[in-house]
Amino acid sequence: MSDQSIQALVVTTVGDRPIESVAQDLRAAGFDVQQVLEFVESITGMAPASKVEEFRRIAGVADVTVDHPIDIGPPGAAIS
Amino acid sequence: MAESNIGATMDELLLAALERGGDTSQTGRYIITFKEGGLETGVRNLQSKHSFQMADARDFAEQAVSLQDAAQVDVLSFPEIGVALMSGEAAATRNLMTTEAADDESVQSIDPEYFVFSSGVNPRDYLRGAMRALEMVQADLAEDEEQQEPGTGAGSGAPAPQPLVAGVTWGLTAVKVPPSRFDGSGIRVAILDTGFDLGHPDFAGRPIVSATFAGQPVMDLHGHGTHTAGTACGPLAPSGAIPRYGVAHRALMYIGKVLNNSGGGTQAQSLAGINWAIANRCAVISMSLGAAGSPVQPSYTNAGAAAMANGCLIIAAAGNSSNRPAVINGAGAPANSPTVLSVASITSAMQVSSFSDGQKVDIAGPGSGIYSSYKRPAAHTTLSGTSMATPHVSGCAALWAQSSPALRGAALRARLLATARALPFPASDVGSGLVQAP
Repeated sequence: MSDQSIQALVVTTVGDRPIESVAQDLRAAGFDVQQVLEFVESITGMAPASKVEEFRRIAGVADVTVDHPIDIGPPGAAIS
Repeated sequence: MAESNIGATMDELLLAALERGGDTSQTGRYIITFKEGGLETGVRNLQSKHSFQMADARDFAEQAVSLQDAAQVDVLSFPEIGVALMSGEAAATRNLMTTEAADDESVQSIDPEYFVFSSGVNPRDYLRGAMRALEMVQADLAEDEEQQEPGTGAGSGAPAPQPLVAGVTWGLTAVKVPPSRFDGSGIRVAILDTGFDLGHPDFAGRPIVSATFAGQPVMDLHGHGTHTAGTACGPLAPSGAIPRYGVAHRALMYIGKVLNNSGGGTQAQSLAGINWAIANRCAVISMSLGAAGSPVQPSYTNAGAAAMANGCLIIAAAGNSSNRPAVINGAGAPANSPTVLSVASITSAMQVSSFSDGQKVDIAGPGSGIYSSYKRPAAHTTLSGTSMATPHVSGCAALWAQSSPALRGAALRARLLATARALPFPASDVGSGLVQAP
């Protein structure tokens, strides 16, 4: 059974194709695009974890990683 | 030995850098920045004093210079931007590797050239090279440690703590902000954090551009963002008995809220914040945030390269997951990306802060016991962390950026590293040393 759980993903592009074209191909492959970040050349969104390898094969895609959380701690933390 | 000549390809330069060891982020070539209008005179002086083979970008059709065609040249000048590129060999044989060595009125500075990775380069390929370089640097450091006499280890040679200047925080004194003639005027500084207390009395009347990427209003109900923005951009003279705590007091503040009021966020939010800051051409992008233990993220490496390509510089906290001397953890993302300036923390006694992460560190800033603005009603408080060290570097970066329009992106990064005050600790703990204001 492949992993059908939906995950937040970050796609890094190589910049040799218009980023909107890469986003189109990602959408067609089942990626729910949330942000197309033109300047940093990344696309963020949601998709089943099982599709990551398929996204990696799309022309212009350099890397696909699971979005990682950032946490500087609650207000008043001694060290941040 | 591989050469760092004007016509060298990227591969040749990388190979030469690896052969040299030391700072492998440098190409081995040098950038000469001329004072405004000083290029013609400066180039003439260089030619007559040092008998350089010179070429001019105007010699090429539409100034589209092919460096490979200029392989035999010592110095290639770019009149439109007031800089010239000098081969490593030319610099070494004439001993022309520093601004002082030029001894020429028309020369603003001579700086090492740094590798810039455009979006066309697969970041994974570059990272393989970076890992090789890291291994070499680590090997060098291990040799240095072996050569040290017993009892002269890190710490014993630390410079004396800074005397406190009345009415100024220790951090500002340590990075030489009070005597600086620069104030950040005209420089856009993005602070990507928990937002900002937009009603803070110390910032009344100050123009602030803001945006939120955290699904909450920019108003900072956490306090962290108000503190870090205060250190980078706080006022020259806060009212009452409050000491000066801000570096670039006339910089244009761009507040991007990428962390929510609980201090949490995602990589996607912080990328969105960086994207916004680059779109707004913020010369300095300050990120007092990170994911401890995260491996290098290609998206941040790409973002750092894109920032530099657009004249911006991302400065990020190394992280606080260490417990020195027993535990020293590596910097997390985004600081661990080679295209992002990673900031460690030092104490007022000029020691490495116990929490400060290591390995991939580029520079250090004051980060223990830092007094700055805070969300109301407290309005001010003292906090510690590489989060506090980072905006000291960002503020100084804004001052340097104001000092010369040529100091943007990779050139700004190079200048910050070249002017940092050396500290008697390994580069893996403090990088080039303590940041200094111009």
